[in-house]
Amino acid sequence: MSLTHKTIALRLLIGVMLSLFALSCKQYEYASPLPGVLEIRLKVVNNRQDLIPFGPLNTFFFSLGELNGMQPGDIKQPIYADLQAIRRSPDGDPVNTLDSLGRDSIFVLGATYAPPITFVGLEIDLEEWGSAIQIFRNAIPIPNFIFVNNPPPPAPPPPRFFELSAPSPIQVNEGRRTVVTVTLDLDASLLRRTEFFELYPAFYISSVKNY
Amino acid sequence: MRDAMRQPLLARSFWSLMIVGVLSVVMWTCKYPSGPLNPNTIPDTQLSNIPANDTIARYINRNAFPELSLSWIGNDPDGYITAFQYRWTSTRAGQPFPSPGNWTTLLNITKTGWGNIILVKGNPSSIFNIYNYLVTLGQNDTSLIRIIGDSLATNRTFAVPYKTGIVPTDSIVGETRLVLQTPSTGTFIFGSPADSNFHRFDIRAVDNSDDIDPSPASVYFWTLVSPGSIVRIDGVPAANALIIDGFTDTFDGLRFAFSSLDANNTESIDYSWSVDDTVTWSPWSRSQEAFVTAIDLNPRQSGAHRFYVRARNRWGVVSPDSSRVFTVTVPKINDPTWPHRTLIINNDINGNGTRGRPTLAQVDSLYREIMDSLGRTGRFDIWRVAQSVPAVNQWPSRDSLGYYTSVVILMEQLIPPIGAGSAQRMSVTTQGFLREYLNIGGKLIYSGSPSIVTAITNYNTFGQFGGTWATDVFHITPNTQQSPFIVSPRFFIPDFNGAFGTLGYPNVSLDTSKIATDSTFAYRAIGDIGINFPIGFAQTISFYDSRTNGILENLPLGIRFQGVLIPPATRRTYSVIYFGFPLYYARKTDMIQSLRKAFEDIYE
Repeated sequence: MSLTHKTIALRLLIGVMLSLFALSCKQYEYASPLPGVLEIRLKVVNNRQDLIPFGPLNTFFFSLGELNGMQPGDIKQPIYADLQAIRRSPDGDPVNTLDSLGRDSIFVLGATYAPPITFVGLEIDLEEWGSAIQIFRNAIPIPNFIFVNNPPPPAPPPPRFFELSAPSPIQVNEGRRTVVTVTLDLDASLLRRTEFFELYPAFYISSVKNY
Repeated sequence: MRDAMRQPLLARSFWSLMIVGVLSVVMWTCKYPSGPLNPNTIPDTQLSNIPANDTIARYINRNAFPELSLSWIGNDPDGYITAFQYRWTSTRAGQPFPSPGNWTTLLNITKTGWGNIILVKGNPSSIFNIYNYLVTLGQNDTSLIRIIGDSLATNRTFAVPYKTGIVPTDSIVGETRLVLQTPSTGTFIFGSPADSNFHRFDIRAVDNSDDIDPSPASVYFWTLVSPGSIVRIDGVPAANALIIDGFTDTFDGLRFAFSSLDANNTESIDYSWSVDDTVTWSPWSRSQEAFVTAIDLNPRQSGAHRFYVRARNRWGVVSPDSSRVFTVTVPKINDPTWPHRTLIINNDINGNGTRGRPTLAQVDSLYREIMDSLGRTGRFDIWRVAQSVPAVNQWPSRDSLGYYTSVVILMEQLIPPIGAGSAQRMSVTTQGFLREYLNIGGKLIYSGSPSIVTAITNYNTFGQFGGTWATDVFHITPNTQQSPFIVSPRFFIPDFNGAFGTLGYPNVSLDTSKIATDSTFAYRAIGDIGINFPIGFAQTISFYDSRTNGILENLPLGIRFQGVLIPPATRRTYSVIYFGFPLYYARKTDMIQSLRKAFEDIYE
């Protein structure tokens, strides 16, 4: 085979390979959009600030074990503390509901990149932590079990798993931020007894905003 | 050549005929049988531990236990036993023999993780189907097994979804293994109330064709009356204890404790109690305590009442009633329509009328004036603890306290720990009365005291009431837990200059016409004022005003603790206002505003 023939053959081979590459790099037949950001914030309703004021030295802790966005079909989208997080603490992330960030609805429970789809609600694993509200140096107990002889009967341990349905669809849009505000109603959650609070956690999704 | 060929042909024909013949015989003999099926064999039942022949002698012994352990076996030659059915029949001597009772069906199944024996309720038409469904639950049926286990644990009926579909009339229920240890062993307790009682036990087996043994195994015997218990009342409330209609967070009722003297029944005694009659009894309960409220009294009034209690042992024998007389005080404030009245308890020291040392009459007069200013004319009384000269200290009784919806305690001078005047310290007994009063919903305003640690005995000591007066009543941190405990200076010119109010309370200034603030003796009135950090739901209502702007400036002084009303309670739990200093020495306008707000905060 002469050099010319070799060159022609080589060029033909290259041409065939390039053609194959060009054909194989064809655009997919389905869409692959960019993700949006799903951010969950906490708002705390508290109209008894004479008893349990917001403040940097006041604490009423919950432990946030899990936070998931719920898709139709019971598909869960884990939401961690921030966009860089890859998991939550095995002991749960502390959430101080008397932090003034909660009063101002800017306490971020978690954020994640999420596909641009519609979520129907949230699933939260929040457990009361510490059995007391600490107001500066004063502690107001929140016993898990209440032993009294009289009615009402001893309160069971408060629930810790909450499935919150959204008042409107939680739509995540491509490249945009969707902020869901979860409200903890302390007025409804804390029943004042003579010497302690009984806890009946009352959470709900109060708003969904698309930015 | 031809013969040679014919011979194998004959041989082949022979063997062909043989095969055809054998096949014909086999086909003929293997013909499907067309006759009637063999009938199911009826199961047989036997008691495997029939009580010995001396059964009668054994059971007629006095104090013989009215319980019997029996075992039984079933045999089914052409299948297996799916269930047993048993029944008891009892009667007393001289009574006609009653008709046999209903059969109880228990499935012949025990499975790991099932704590109970399974009974089939009603009159199931298909025991085998139920048995077959339950016995074939596999490892993958864990959720269903758990549901059944839960059902059994709580003795709830459970519709069996066996594979032919749910039959609503068929249900199962767990029977504690205290009675039925296994499907073929049981320890039965039978009523034996009369002097002479006849019992008969029948047991029969059910096989996998739902056929029942027509001739049950039986045992019968006589018993004497079952031994009973004697119940003893171990604890009764204090005499004349205050009592109200219902429970609140702070009133658990008056406690009675009791126990049973029954050596044969130490763990399975039930109790029932009643007050003032033996007609209406409480439900049977294992609790060895009763908590009585005024609702249980008949009539519902102060005085002597009788508490009854009885016990029932595991053989169902009820003890004779035990009873104890007790006395109670039903306070007037138990009546929700009772008008609001205030008792001012003047525990001040009778002084000489000079500044800082007012006479009791001066104190009475000023507080009358203040109460009149508050529009409370005719709705208060004043009680002097020091009743006469020489002083005989007398605090109001429980009954007296019960007339008033609120109490104001004045302890506004230094009370010495020993010697003359020391008797005016608030004793533990007095604290007990006051705590009782507060626990039924009373309200307290406290003015004072210089050196409160001295004024109130065991102020910081955890004693018979569980907590201290400081923590339980005032809801403030005991000084033993403050580091350091802060009080104003005592033995020189006092530092206390008044209070800065908050939560609606006014600023308070001292009235120099009532106290010489620059006197070295003023410490008797406004010295040794403690700083009070609130605990629990208590709130600070005022802050210390230091004459020298010293370290006490703006530290918490007055405390408010407000009670709550939790239905079904009809009374709010107690509320307390503790000013933290003697209000008497404040300016009159400040006194009026402070007390007005205090009465408002205690819902008076």
